[in-house]
Amino acid sequence: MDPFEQHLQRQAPREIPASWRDPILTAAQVAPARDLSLRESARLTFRERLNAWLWPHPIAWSALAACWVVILAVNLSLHEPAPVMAKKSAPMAPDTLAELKRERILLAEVEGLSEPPDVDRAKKSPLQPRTECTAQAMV
Amino acid sequence: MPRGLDIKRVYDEHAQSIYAFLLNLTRNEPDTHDLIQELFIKLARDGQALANVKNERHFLIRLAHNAAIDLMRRRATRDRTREQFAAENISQFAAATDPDEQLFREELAGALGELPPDQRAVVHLKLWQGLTFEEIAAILEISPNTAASRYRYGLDKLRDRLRLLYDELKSTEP
Repeated sequence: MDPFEQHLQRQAPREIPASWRDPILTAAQVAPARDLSLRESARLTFRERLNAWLWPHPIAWSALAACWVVILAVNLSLHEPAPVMAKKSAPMAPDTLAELKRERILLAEVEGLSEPPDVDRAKKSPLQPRTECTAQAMV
Repeated sequence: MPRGLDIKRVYDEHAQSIYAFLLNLTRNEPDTHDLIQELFIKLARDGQALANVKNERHFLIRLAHNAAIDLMRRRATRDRTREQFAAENISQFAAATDPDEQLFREELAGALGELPPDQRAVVHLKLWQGLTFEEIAAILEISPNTAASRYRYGLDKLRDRLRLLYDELKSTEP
């Protein structure tokens, strides 16, 4: 080592704070015991957990459960069937449909349309290629 | 606690070395505390951790190094770069009574903080733990040649940075 390295080596590192010792050692000693208790608590059955949870105030929990039973019973006794808002309508008769169609055509004529709606016209036109339709229109 | 490990003895014998190493690496005292505590909790949980270890101190420094690297990676993912990690200018040296020597220590701490963590770890283990390159290589899981080159690079940077101050100190010595 050269003198520079030796000089660096002589620089004393800081001491670890003495106040750290006890908390670190306590944490280290507590950790395995805590792990053990966690493992043991994981082994508890559902019934044991429920008992542990309910045990401090069993009368209060029972009273709360009774209240809920009463509320449920009252709610069911007051329950009425919901009114039927709408019934499914029956299909229209053919006469009614024809009348409706005539009225629609009449309405269209009143509004200034000489021809019936496009829907009906499309149905009347025979099936043919689009090119022939165009040729007829040009003639 | 599992039997077979006297955690107090381990602390009293090795905590100072681990502290100096981690403080040099992390540049942060609370992080150093957390890492040491984490390390001793691990040891306490596994009572046989040191059972077949040849050199306890080397083993503990290796564990500490791995924990510190993990911490630094976690920090890096939280948008905190290693440079920022190292930039916290905490002195890892004891206070000196001589003002010139104190100034040198402060400059040395700053210069060490500018080194990459890899070089800083090797320089620390070589200079302040007195380990050979083979031992450093075993601890840091690198080759001895890599350890030697990292030490050389790191030392050159320290020399450049501290040259003037060092020469001045030497010239005033009786």
